[in-house]
Amino acid sequence: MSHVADVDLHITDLDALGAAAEAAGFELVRDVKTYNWFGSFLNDWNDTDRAAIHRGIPEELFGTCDHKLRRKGASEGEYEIGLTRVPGREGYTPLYDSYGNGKQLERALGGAGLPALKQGYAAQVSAKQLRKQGYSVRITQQTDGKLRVRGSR
Amino acid sequence: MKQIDVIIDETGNPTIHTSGFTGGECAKETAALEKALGAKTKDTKTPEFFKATVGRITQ
Repeated sequence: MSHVADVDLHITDLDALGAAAEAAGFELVRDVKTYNWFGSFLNDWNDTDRAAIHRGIPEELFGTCDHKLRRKGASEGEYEIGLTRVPGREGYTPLYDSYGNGKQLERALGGAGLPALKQGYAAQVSAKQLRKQGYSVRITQQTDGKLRVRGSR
Repeated sequence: MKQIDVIIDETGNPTIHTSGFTGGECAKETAALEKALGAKTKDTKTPEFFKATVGRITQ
């Protein structure tokens, strides 16, 4: 099965992504051309909201990347998240095979669509920009699950 | 003290809250942040914003 999922996140700051990945137990591996997935496209997933093929991403891009995210302590062959330049989109788009052991990626990152990665990335981008503007920054997790990035000066 | 809070929900959507700014100073200060986050975020205007606006109109 090959269920390549498109994540609704356009990454323009790799350093911020690396920090978010680190906090979630992943590592950013830069300048690599492939990531682990099923390995061939079977066109067997019709979810128009999530399936990359139905969201305008050509199958030639599946399994290819510019950088990738790997779970720390991942076993040999465990699926990974590719960070891929998609024509017409800004930055890098995360793509991953959500079938089989791809479920581990979703379990680690908040479920389908990797919301914890999106949340952590937004927090790191915010913190970086606030520091750039001269604020001292603190990131805290609220009891309702939201992240608060507070800049003060 | 000037303070900017970015609250990010569990799906990754950010909302910006500010305090200690007056008038348009706040929008200017958060513009780069909104740009960095890649989208127009929700914002809420504090009483300071309106106080400063009224002040300018009545001068």
